[in-house]
Amino acid sequence: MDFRLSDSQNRLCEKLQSLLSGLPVSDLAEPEPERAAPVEGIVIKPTAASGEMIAFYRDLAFEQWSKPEKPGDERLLNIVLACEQAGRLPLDRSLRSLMLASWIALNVQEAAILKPLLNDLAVSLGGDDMQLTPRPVFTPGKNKSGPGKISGKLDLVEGVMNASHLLLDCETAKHQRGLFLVDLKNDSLERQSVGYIDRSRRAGCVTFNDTPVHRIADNCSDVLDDVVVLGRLLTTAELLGASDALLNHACDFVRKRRQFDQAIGNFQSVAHSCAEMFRDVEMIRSLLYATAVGHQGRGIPQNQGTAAAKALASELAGNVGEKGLHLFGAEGLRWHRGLHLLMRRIKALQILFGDRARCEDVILSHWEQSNDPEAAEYVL
Amino acid sequence: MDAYENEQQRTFRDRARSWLKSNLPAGWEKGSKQEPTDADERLAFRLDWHKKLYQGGWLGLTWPVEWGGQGLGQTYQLIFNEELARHETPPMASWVGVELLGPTLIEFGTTKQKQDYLPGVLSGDDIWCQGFSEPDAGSDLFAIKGTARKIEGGWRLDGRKKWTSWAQYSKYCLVLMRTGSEKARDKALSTFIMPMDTPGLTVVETRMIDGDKEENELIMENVILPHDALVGPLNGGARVVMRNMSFARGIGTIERTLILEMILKKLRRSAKILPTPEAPAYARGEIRSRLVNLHSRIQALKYMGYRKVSEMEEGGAKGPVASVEKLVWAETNQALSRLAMDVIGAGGLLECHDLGDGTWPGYWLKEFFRSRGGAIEGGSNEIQKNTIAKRVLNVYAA
Repeated sequence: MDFRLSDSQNRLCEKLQSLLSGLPVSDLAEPEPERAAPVEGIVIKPTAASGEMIAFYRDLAFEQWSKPEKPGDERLLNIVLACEQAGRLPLDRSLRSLMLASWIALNVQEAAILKPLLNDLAVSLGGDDMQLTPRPVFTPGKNKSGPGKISGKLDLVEGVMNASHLLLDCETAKHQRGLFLVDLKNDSLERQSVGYIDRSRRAGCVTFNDTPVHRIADNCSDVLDDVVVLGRLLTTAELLGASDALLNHACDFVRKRRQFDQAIGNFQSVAHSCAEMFRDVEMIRSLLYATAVGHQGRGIPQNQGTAAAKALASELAGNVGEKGLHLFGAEGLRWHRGLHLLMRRIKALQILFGDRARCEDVILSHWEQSNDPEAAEYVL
Repeated sequence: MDAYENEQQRTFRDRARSWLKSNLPAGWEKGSKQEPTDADERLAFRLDWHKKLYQGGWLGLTWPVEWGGQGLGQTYQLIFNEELARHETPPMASWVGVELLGPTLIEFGTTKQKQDYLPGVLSGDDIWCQGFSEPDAGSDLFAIKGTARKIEGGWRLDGRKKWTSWAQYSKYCLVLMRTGSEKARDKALSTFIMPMDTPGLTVVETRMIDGDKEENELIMENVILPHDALVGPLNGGARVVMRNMSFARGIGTIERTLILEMILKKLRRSAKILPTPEAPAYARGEIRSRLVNLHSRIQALKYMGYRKVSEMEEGGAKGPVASVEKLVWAETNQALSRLAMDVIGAGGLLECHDLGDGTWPGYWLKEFFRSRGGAIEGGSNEIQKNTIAKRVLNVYAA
């Protein structure tokens, strides 16, 4: 047993950090008002993902997901580490969606078609909990296994405004769901930008009017359930990245910010807030890594383990976000300081793929189904 | 990362599991796991268990072979402690000796001290306590005032110690004394081995809020110790004690975390029939949510502990997670016992009432009060936060 990151994982993190440093500001950044006092020190801006970075993530996903599963393999943890690093920045691209689509492309026979589209692909899955109204309905064509059409509305899809294609699931029969690919340039659909909490992502709603779709897979509910569990794990990784980044920014700030003739970090209440943020970040990290590593070689992580990690991360990352913002004082509330971008990301991630209550229900349901209380625990 | 045990580790776990099943005190496994309530009988019960463990070769697993240990790595100690927790074994009589004092003597003691004392520590023949805190020096340990003055033939000790666990049953005490000026703080402290029957030493029991008399005051008036009672370098006592306390935050916290896991399982069962089977606490969404939340926290804490052991295995350093682990354990322990009191309702207010949930009368109440101590002993929550802020995050210079 060894619960430290391996040398290769540390090297992967270093590589990812180097790819993520010095990225350009995205065009979602809002200019400061003329003659406003410049924001000095720590400034966070919406960040544009580079082509090199997207290609690295895509290749990493294919490399890791393609590896045969075996006890002790590191593929899932490597994917988690990649999403954690991406979560540190307010990137304009969801690398989690890229990772999930890559998994689908490799695990659903007909989905290989997705591979060349991954760079500009948006993903909307029923299990991501981003829908407020019933999901669009699929109507098969004359040839039931051929293309068909969908009608209805997707209320909120991250990144859909700058994507070329959309991967979505729809109900195909009672209790059956299928996967479909839509060309977003099709005239029979309408994309509309929405005011989304995460200001570094171009989110939108999509209305379909008998929009032709490419059928990728029928009756793939099991695969989609697995994707939801994976999505939960990867959003937890992003929560870890965002909260760890906020912790680092807050610590940097309190070391330098002087009030009453000293750095404010010297005040015990401030120092203890930092310690509590560190405590919460390490709790998230501990359960997330263990969930990823504990199920290596056993396919998709068990539902309840991932749900526990997501539920805890949702709670604790929220605490870290609020404390981090507070430690900056009024400066933390200034739009162009940009801390709110990470806070906004955290709020979105708390809901994506199941909020705390939904994740807790997963664990409770598992406890209920298990007659043997010992078996209800997921032990390594 | 490698979450899997290797073949030897699996074999070791199987051996430990099988030994424990055959050697637990009679009726323990299926019973309520209540120790004798009378203090002397309880000590005898724990001593009996200590000696069984010793005779089975399960004590001092990581101690060097030359000092009676097995010379195994920390992972083996972890596995054994996991099995102890999962079998909810009784505590051993001299936990302080085996887990804290022994490793301290191995690192700082003279060869003669090791020869004289280590066998009795392992066998349980000699129970040890540790006298560090004083009435005016708790969290600020380096402010202690009790003195050890060099005299002809040895040392003369004067002062008072507080919160000395199990002193009334101990044969020896590792005591921290001031050997220089108070201004020199941690640079003028030294540790000594003090036999508990030394003239001039008085032990006064302190009754705690859970009703137990685990803690004691030591009053030292003209206590004379020989020269060779000194452990470690003169005026190097702060280092000895800090190292000693780091052993407390080693494997022990993981065992205590696994005990929390077992307690949570009990509470889940209790919540389905208490406060009454007709209206169980489990029916309330708020209680279910708190149960799940504690489950997640305990799992996170457990893996944090595993990470620490992996770091210890590498070089003895526990890394930044040790203080976090202690802090989270104390907070979770309190949250768990608080939830238990909310689950059991009025029945929890009665000290001798059988709740019918398989626990012994007064179990949850005792857990509730005992959990207060976890946030104080071995470094309070505030001290842990100071340590994290100062040594890990480098934001606090005070």
